[in-house]
Amino acid sequence: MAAIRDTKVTQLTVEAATITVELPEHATNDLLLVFGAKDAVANGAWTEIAAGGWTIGGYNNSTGASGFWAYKKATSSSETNPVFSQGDVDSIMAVAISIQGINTTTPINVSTGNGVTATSGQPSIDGVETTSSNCLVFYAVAADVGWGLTPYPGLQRIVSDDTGSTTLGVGWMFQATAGATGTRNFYGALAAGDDHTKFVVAVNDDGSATFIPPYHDIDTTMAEIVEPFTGTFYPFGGAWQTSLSIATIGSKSTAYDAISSIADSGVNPFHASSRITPALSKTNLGGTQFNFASAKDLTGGFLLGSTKFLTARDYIDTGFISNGGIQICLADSSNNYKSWMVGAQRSKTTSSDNRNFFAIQVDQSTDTGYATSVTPPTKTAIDKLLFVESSPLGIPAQDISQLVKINKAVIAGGSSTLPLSFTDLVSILNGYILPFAPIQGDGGILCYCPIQIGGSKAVAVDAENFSIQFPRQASQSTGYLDFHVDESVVGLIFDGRSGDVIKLRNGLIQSASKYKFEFLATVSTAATWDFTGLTVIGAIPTLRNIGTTGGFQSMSFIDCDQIAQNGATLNDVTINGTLHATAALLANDPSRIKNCSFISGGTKHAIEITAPGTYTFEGNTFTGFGANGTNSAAIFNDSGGAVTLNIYGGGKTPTVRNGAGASTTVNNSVTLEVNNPNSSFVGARVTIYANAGGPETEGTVLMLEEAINDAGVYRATQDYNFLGNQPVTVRAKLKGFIPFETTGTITSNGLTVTAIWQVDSIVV
Amino acid sequence: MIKDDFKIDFKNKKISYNPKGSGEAYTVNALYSYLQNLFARAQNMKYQIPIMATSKTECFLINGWTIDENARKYLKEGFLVLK
Repeated sequence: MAAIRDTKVTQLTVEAATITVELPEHATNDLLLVFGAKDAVANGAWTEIAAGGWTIGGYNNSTGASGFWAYKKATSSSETNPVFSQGDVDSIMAVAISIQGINTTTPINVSTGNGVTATSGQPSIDGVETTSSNCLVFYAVAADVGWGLTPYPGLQRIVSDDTGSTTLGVGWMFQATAGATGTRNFYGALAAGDDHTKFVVAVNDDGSATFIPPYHDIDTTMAEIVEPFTGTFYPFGGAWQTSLSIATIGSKSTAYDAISSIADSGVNPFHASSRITPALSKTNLGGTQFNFASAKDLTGGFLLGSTKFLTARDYIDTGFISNGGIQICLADSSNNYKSWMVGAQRSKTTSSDNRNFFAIQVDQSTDTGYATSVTPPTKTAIDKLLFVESSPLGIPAQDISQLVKINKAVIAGGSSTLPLSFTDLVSILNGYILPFAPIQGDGGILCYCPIQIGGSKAVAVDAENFSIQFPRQASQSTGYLDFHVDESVVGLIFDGRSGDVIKLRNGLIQSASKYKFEFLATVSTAATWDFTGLTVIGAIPTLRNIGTTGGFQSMSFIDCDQIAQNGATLNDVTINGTLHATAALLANDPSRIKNCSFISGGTKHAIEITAPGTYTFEGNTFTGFGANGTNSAAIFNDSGGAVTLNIYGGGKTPTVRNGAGASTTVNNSVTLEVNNPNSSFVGARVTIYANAGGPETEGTVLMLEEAINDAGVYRATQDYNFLGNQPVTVRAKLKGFIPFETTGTITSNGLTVTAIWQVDSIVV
Repeated sequence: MIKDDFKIDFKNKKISYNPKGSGEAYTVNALYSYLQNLFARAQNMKYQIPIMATSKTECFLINGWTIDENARKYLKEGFLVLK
């Protein structure tokens, strides 16, 4: 199936009639697809005048903007850069895309041909009706303005650049089943009368089910743009104001400061940002106010934005936490407000020379805000935003750019032959101009977005050697100011269905605040799961039955909230510590807990059993738990009934606490054996007595047997219910032989002793 | 019978002679054999053995066992040493 191999943008620095489009990396039989834009003042046809073999898929000219698209099936991996021409000499740019895994006979499934022109409003591009499954669908728009036209989140951005007087925006999506691709939107600084021309091109796949690109399932809204804050360009109709509607935020008075529109300084460097430079004040919060075009419902998700100091010196001029720092204040039409501190000098999350991300959950349950009016704002009807900061030491220049409302990324794509890598997965999260998961080093992300892997669209992921960190919940007292979002909002959600492949191996998922590690009820045991080597720290794990092999195997949960088993099989899992008040694991079926290692710091239970019954309990070990009947015993039988645990496979006998109406029997049968290589041992009387230092009373007879000939093995054996390591004395006596005596310890593996027999030549 | 003439106090680890015994003297080897068999009985397996031998005429009381002087009078043909 088709997938983008590479892209390359060509911008001319001088006006021209022609453009030589630089091709990206490509291979034989790739589709080479070009979209171009020109600030044309004269109409005319686009033609290919050099290289050869290209087809002009369509072009469109209107009063001031011209656009075209062209394609060619590569016949080698070193195609000559094509030259495209249109009569007008003007500003021009293009993007070339190489696509692998295409239908080489009919690469284009459907397109809008010469496209559509418009002269008003933001670019809204009607989709096409694909006739085959698994099409790559490209949406493109060209306009004659110096402002990068940008696809909304959901489309994966390829380009949103401009030359100063012409702009080209291109994004793509994956259409798994034939049908309507839907209307997709772009935004830009288009005024009434600004021309733009729009294309949609759907590319056929080769039907091999090999190259399926990473994509977001567009049936779920990943994020909505609240405001791009692009200086004094207002693509969504709101505007920065000339005064503040709110006189005080908490105990701080506010002071108005007009914003400056700073060209080419936004998250998208082809966009302006909005800058405040409040006057020096040891008491005020200075800044500006943006009134939205209409009141917004900011519940059901959380806001993500970013700020940036003009220079590192501006960081020094910004107030500390105690001064009020940098704040985002949201208010309704009655000027009821809530304000959040998103940065401050010397805070742990505010960088002097990098872009500083912030997230705000307006309907948060845990209040991390700086101040709220006596009557809180109506969160479903927020109509203004104040961007203010404390400036006790100077005039801190502070830019704001982009504000979106995050919902959830739903990861799809990949195949069993070419599953998605961690980098592929991250490309989906960072497909909008504002990255939702900034990359940390090699193989790491700081993720501001809930991630769902799988769902109604097929997915195959094989991520290895990665690190995902979710932000720590904000707290002014601890100096973390960037993430004002409740626990368990971000995290990983799994919805692998039959045939899906979900492998997250040898990775680390971590946060100081609780996050989701949740398997939905719709997960399938017919998917392929593998979490070998995965370490999950600080999560709220909600597991499901994903099969008895693979799945939750050879992985670790460290200091998580209570793990909900929900019938899941855990095999060779280490569960070290818990954040929960009672027990690390809430188990409804202990028989599916195998070879697991539970480690305690001396408080809380390992397992809270919720269902009465008799369970095999294989190979589980417990370290650091308390005595029977205590709140730190390994097992807490909270089933209200009788539980029997039959331990085998080297499992350690756990200590137990019974809840109301509950009783617990632990059977840990191990074998005690005393043998001798000589048949003279038959008939010997063999005893094992408990010594001090174990759970048994000293002197208790643990074994009293006569040795027998057991199919050629001369031994005495007995089953023993292992309670804990038990020091013992072993004796074997038989007339005519010197009595044998030794000491040893019964462990969870039992005890085997070989008696070395000596003839007693003295006895008569 | 040696079992009637010698008293074995398992609690205090002491061997003595029965005042109502037959008055017969036994070889050290006979006492050794008697004690080994006595301590191999099921009910006595929990006790450490009281005696070991280096020859038919030289035995040692071990593991804290003792024999009173009166009882020694009824042993012959060998040495019984406290170890």
